Amino acid sequence: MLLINRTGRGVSQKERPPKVTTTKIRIVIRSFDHPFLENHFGGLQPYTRKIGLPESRVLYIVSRSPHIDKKSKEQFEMEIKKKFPIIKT
Amino acid sequence: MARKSVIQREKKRQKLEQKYHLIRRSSKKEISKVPSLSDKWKIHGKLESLPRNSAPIRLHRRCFSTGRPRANYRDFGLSGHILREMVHACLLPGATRSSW
Repeated sequence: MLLINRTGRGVSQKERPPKVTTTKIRIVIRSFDHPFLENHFGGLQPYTRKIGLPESRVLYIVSRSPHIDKKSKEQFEMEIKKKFPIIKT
Repeated sequence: MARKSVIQREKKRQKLEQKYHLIRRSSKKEISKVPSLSDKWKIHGKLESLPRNSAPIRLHRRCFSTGRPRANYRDFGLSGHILREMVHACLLPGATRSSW
């Protein structure tokens, strides 16, 4: 297979300069607070792809009193945010 | 706070369970593989000879700080009352009061 360059001279496949390969780093960031609001991606390039993954929420319902009163309860939660940035190096 | 003797008893059970875990698992696999009943009884006798406290069914989750055997939350290893206190004191990361 011949490639025609600008000068019109035929260049073989072997003489073509090597392709610049970029590696992609894929990380899943999990945190309790929102990564964008807290600016966890401050050091990355502005064009980094950030894919949002589904957030999970765990509820814990605990009775307020250590002894009696089962009707009065308190609800706690843990929200886990997930982001999936693809960093090109 | 639970009695210290009871907490130590539970720790002893955990140690025994870890010690005999592989023996129990292998002998149970053997029982399922062996076809004849007489061989099964032999392996079963081996299982019976192990200490009873080494059985995983005897383990019971207790609160990490107080040793309370009830109202335990696996994610934290704490009983409900201590969990509530620790959340209010901001000692558990990510746990907040929720309302929706």
